[in-house]
Amino acid sequence: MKEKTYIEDIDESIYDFRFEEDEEDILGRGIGADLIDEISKEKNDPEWMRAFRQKSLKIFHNTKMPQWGPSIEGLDMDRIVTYIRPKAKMRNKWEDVPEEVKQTFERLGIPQAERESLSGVGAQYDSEIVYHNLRSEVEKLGVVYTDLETAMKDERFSKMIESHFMKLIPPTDHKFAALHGAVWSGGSFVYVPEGVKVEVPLQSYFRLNAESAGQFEHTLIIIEKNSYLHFIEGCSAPKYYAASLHAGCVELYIGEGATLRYSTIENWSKNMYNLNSKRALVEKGGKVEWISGSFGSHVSYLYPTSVLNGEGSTSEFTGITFSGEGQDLDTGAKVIHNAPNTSSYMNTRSISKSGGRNTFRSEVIVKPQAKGSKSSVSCASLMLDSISNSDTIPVMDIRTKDADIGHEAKIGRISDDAVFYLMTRGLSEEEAKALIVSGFCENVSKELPVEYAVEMNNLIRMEMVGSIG
Amino acid sequence: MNTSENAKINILPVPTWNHLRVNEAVYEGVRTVEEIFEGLEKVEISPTDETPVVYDFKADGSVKGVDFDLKINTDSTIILRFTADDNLYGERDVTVRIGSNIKEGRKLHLVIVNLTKNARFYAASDAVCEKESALTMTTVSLGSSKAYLEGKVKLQGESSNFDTYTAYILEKGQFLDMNYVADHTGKNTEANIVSAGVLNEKTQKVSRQTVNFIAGCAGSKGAENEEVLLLDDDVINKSAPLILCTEEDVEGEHGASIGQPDEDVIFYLKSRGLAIEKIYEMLSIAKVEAALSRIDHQETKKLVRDFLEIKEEEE
Repeated sequence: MKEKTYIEDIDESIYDFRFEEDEEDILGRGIGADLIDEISKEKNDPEWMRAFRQKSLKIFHNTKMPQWGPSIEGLDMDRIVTYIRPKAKMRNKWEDVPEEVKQTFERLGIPQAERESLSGVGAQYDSEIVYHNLRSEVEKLGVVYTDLETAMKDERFSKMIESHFMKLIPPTDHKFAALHGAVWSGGSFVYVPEGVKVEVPLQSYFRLNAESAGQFEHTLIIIEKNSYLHFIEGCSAPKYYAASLHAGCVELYIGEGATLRYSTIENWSKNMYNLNSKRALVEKGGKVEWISGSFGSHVSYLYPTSVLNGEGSTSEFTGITFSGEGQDLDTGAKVIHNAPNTSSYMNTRSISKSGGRNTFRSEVIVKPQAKGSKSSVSCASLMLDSISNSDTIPVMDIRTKDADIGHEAKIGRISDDAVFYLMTRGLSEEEAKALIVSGFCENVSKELPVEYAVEMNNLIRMEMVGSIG
Repeated sequence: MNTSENAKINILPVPTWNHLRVNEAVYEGVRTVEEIFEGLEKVEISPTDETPVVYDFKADGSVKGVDFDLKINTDSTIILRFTADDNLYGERDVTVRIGSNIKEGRKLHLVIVNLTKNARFYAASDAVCEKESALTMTTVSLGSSKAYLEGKVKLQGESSNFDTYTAYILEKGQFLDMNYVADHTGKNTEANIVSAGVLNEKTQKVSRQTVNFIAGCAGSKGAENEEVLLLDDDVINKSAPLILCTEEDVEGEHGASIGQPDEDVIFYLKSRGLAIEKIYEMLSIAKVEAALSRIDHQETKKLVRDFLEIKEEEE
């Protein structure tokens, strides 16, 4: 009889702490026109944004729930808190951040990471950014990294934001994009001028503390011609019994010859509905690199999209999804080849265990004008038991003869031969299997800065060397 | 009739984004799937030995199609050939339903040849494989203004096997929509789903391939493969290769290659003095010849080659 290594779920305990929020901080539950107006008033929105929120709300009410992915029946939109007043104004000095918020981020290791490996950090607590800082030497290069609301009111950027905000992901895109357009709050604005290469990454960390709450941050990044940026986002929340919602939005504009690497380590608690939207528009010779690690959430719909709009532009997507008990994670990527000689590459891994459900979903569209384009998709899934699920649902839509499209997918379990070989080299069975799973995830971890790769590997390995049985 | 009132066929076992329009095919002018199969001539085929059984259907407008009931109690080959009268103009429906239950230890090679020219052709095959039985399907689809091919198999018997190869060459605005699904429920079952073809001017093809490993099918293997040559710029190729899995002890894989012929192959053939048009023609015919190599029936091979105006060679 075959023995099995029992691989535990990812240990969420380090993220599972919370502080009480004050009821008076909650602006309201559900989604109504009055509440949207109140959010606008609270945030002192410019008129165009107030109108945009109301328009998005109408689209939200007129758009059907998605009919094709994991069930989101457990999400009671009438109970979700859409906006929580901030406990303090946004600070640029860590010591000015309120004590309990500071404690939260210190326990998550954010200030330490800022000191050791980042150019700048933004931290969002519930609905608002509470801390933003950028190293002075990076600021001197003309790089802007601040919260979106501040930038929107800054005359240097207000027009830029108005002309880019939700133009890549319009509220008509899907129901939760419309919801985001109506209730968005917080998030970051990054601007990198032409030719500037930000050698050390920037990071935003999103923490949802309140129960039954929604987080709707908007990240807008514009990098000009021949510039470079690595942006990292991290997310976590304590676990509650009531469902929470994350419907953020990330829009990336990548100029000619520029490269943007966008890395995400997502570890929301397992009561979270993570319905996030991410999209990049890449100009001539530009490149977007998505690195995505999905570990948390009860349900995820997450498909970073690359629109390759300029000749010779490139997209790379490297992702890993780990789905355990009670999780239904529907993840993947989309690429639209919209110009000649564009290329895209997807490389994903997924692991399912303890009844967890993974779906890899992708689309590659090659438009008639995208002659000379190339695309390669490779996805591998590992099943660790027979009570879990793993589905692969890729689609390719090719509309020119002058394209080179390759796709490969594999699904299976840990190879007995590989385990046997490692055991002959002196490893125990559980160590051998743990090593194989770690190796399986290497495609993502090797793409991250070393500190984050270590964190990700810890997430995976923390409980992996378990009992055999 | 609005689109939502049309029958939906070739349904993807798990839906994906609606805007891709691969979740199903719309069969226009008919409201329900049952209606599509109304009025078919019922034919039972029960082979008694291994001699191939050939059934010819000529679309002359008198009968809409055939509802086949295949009783497979012995190893057998059944060849279903669909042709149309050269003088038949205008779109006609040719509808085929094939139900088969392949008994324990038996093998069926089911061959479908579609040369129906202007017809709207729909062939739906539904098979159940018992223990250690095997269904081999070979489909050659060259005719039809619109063709819908569906092959569903339940591999419920231990060590049962499904092997399908579909070849097509689409020209001048032809449309082909395929849906192949292998449900693995028995232990140690195997499926191999392959399609290979060529898209020429203004043609469109949708291919759905699904290997579905259902809990309990330990030791099973499933593979999907697709090769598509795109020879014109106004073609549309859609591919949806799915692997669904609720069983740990399985191996599933998919591979696809879509686009122009391999540059090295082109270079080699050019260096042998062949013009590019001739090379494309050879590579197109090779897809069909790969299907014909699976069919042990000279008359059927000749029928296909004549349709393609290929000179018969000594075998």
